[in-house]
Order: sequence, then structure tokens, then C-alpha cells
Amino acid sequence: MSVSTSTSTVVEYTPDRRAQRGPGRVFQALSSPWGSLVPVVVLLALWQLGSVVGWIDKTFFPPPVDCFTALVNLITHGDLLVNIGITIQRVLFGFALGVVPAVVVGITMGLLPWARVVVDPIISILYPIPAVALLPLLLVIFGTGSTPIVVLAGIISFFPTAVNSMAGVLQNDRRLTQMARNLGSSRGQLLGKVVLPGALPSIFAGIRLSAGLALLGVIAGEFLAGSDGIGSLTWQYWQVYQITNMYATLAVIAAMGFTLTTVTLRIQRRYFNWTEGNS
Amino acid sequence: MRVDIDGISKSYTDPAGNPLHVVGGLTASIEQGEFVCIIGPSGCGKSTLLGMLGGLLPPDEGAIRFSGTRTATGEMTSIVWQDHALIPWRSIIDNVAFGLELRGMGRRERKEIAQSHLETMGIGAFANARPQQLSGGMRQRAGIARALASDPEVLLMDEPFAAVDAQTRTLLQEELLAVWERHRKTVVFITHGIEEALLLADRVLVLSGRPTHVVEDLRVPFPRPRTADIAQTPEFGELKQHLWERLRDATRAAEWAEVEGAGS
Repeated sequence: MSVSTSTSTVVEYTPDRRAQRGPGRVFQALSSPWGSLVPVVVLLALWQLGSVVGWIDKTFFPPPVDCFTALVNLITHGDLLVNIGITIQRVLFGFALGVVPAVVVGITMGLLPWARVVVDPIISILYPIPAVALLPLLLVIFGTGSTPIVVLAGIISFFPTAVNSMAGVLQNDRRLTQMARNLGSSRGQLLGKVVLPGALPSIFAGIRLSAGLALLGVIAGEFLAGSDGIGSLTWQYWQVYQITNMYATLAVIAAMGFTLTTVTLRIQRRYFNWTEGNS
Repeated sequence: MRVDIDGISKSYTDPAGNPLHVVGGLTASIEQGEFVCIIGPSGCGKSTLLGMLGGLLPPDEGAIRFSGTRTATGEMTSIVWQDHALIPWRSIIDNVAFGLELRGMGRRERKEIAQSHLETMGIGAFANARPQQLSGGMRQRAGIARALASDPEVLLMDEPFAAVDAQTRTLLQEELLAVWERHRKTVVFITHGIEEALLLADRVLVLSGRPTHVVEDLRVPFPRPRTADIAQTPEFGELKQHLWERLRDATRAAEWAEVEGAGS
């Protein structure tokens, strides 16, 4: 980019053709919503190939096509759908059981220093306990069946929402509360029009975490203590060494988690978009 | 509405537990319809004074008296904030109507009033935009529209043009003057800019460092309506020099006090 003669040097900045061309067509295709499926399909294809040819052990990694056949089989001839329904119900109940009180407790803690001083130490002690460790206790209290699993999911999903709700209220924008007070806002108006709406994004971020944890809690509970539900099926197929069936149920669990993440992300983008680029 | 500030004092306790005497026996009177600018050294307590005028914190001693007809505390003053303090999840028009909404005014009526103030500030087309979609200057126009929509007795402005670029600031100053000529509201305007104060104000109060009080009460003689052109006159230059000297003395004294405080 420089031309030199014996007397002077000229430095030229010229257009960067590569940068002007922008990202290539392949890159653009891969970053589209449907294009993002391509890497997943390629991975499955490689797995299929490796499993059939014998590069990887078929016993542990059966060909995806076989697993898919097993899935279809379980849906048409087995009771997979019933078990999916049971699991979804437990997730929803557990989620509601944890999140509803969590929002109330979290907001109360954010608003009342007294509640914070009393409840915060208790949460600090309970939060780090891996909630799955409580399952035996829950079995003692609630016996077998759905109840201990739902309660486990409720306990796990309580904490992120409670902590985030409290933080959302505590981090309210002081400039906005001062502005509202100057214009004659009552305490109730301050709460309803400034503090709580301002805390919603944080509360919802907690709810998103809780939703994922509710699913985790239910699956873990079903592994260990369930006689039905999708997690229980996975565990049973492992024990009787029906690996393709086990993979089929894993795929169902993965789909549940994926749906949960996608739906909650959509809600977040739709209703809380003002938090992005907020100044 | 006449405002009498009668010997108010305010102290804080800083995080280290030391008392901080911010406002010390400040006395001033502001007449109905007067435009008063307040300048003073950085950190001298201008914002504390504004918070007390705005009813956000009570003085430790003394009193601020509003003598007029209205009694509702939420209708005495509206603050125009330096950082505009618009609510990010509300549209511009709902932000401007916020004060009226707090008073329980119906949706249609308050939106009509808010829209007319948006038109006055020249941003009627952005009624349904969100604050974060607007430029800094437009946000501040919305902040002024909100303050005016509440129809306060006194407009309190806390360095409202400090965060915008110089060209926009000049525009905003002229727009504010034009709006004020029509409403003739009582305005208390805090600023760092001596020229801004001379351009806008009927009177300029110069404050000392902490604990702050009034060290100079200057009547600005320029006739109204004014434009930025008055800055070219020799009289403007003389007043600017005079104010700068007073401000410099106050700032020096404040700096020395700060250093002595650090040494002890």
C-alpha cells in the first residue's frame, strides 16, 4: 500500500475489498433460523456414519436412526405420551409451587428492610444445599408418588426467583423514584408505577432460571423416586439396557428443555425489550 | 407564587461517619415569574438545595416558604433532571403525562395536555417513541415537556443542558427562553455555565463552597426577549468577568477547605 521514491514516501489507505464483500453466503445461510439446524444434522449424520461403520461403540452410541425408530415405536405402541403428560404436569405444578411464593417473598424482602434482615440469612443457608439431597427427607414426609417430586421441583425453583425479585426491587432506579416523588407520587403509586415495573425484567430473569430448574428437579426426582414420568422411563431403560429406548426418552427431555428456553426467551424479548440499550 | 428560602441548613453523615455540613444558613427570595440561575463551585451543595426546593428532603434548620394559592405539595415544583429521568418502559407521551396521571386525571385529557406540550417543544412527532430511541437533546425536550405538563408553580432545572453537545445546548437555551416568554413561570436553574446564566436569568445567585450560602446576588440587566447575540456586547463580557471572579474565589476557598479537611 505504499509507494516510495528516493525523495518522498506516499502512504495510501485503500478500500478493503474483503471487508466490503461482507460475510460469505455459507455463513449467512448458517446464521438463519433454519440454517442453525445444519450443524446439528451434520453431527447426527456423523454419529450415524460412525456408529454404522464401527468407529464408535454401537452399544453406547447406537445409530440415531435406530433411536428415532425406537421413539416412534414408543409413541405408537408404548405409553410414552402418557408419561410425557405426567412429567409436564409435575413441572408446571412444581414451578408454580416454587415461583409464586418466591415472587411474593422476594418483593417483600426488597421493600421491607425488616423482612430482608430476617429472611436473607435463612435463604443464604438453604440456597447452597443441592436440593436433590432433600429428596429422601421429602420421601419420608410425603411418601411415594408425585408429591415429593413436585415439592422438590418447587424448592429448587424457589430460590432464583426469590433472589432475583429482591434484587430487582432493590436495584430500582433512584432517579426515577425521586422524579416520581417530586411530582407528588404516593407510596402506592411509587410501587405500582415505578418500582415494580422496573423490577419486572429482573423478576422474569429469575423465573426463566426457575423454569429450567423445575424441569431439572422433576427429572432428578423421577430418576430416583418415580414410578412414572419421562425421567423414570429413562432410568428404567438404562437398567434393562434398552439403549435405543433410553436415547429416545433423552431426546424427549432435551426437546422439553429446548421448548422451555425458547418460549421464555421469546417472552423476554417481547415484553422486556426496553432493558436492551437502556440508558 | 413567591419563594422565600429562610436560613436553611443541611448536613449529611458521609460513609466514614464524618458530618458533612453542605448547606449553611442559605437565605434567598425568588419573585413570582422570575428566572433565577444559581452557579457555584462543583460539589458545593447545589443539588442538595434543589432537592430541598423540590420537596425531596427536608432542611435540618430554617424553612422554604411557597406563598400563593395552591397547597398540594406535588404541584409546587417540577424538576427537570440533568439525566432527564424518563421512564424507559413508557412512551414519550406517557412519560410527559406522568405527573397528571399521578393526580388521577383521565387518560384522554392527560394525553391531550401532554401532546400539546410535546408540540410546544417541537417533538410532537415522537409521542409514541420510547426514550431510548431519542437523541439526548430530544430526551431533554421531553423532560421539559413533562415538567411543564404538570403546570407547577416553580420549575426547577438541575443543569439540564450539561449532558448535551454545545450546538444542541444553544438550541435548547433559545427554545427554553421562547417557551418561558409565553408561560413566565418562576424558574430556578442550576448551571455550571456563567454564559448560560447570563443569557437566561433575571438574577444570578453565586454560591460559596460547603457549607454553601449566597455570596453574590446579581441582577442581569439585558432586555427581553433575548437571543444568544447578547453575548457579543461589552456589557456581557464585563458581567461574565465579574461573575467568574466571584466564582473563582468561591471555588478556590472550597478547594482549600477540601485539602485542609483531608489533612486533619
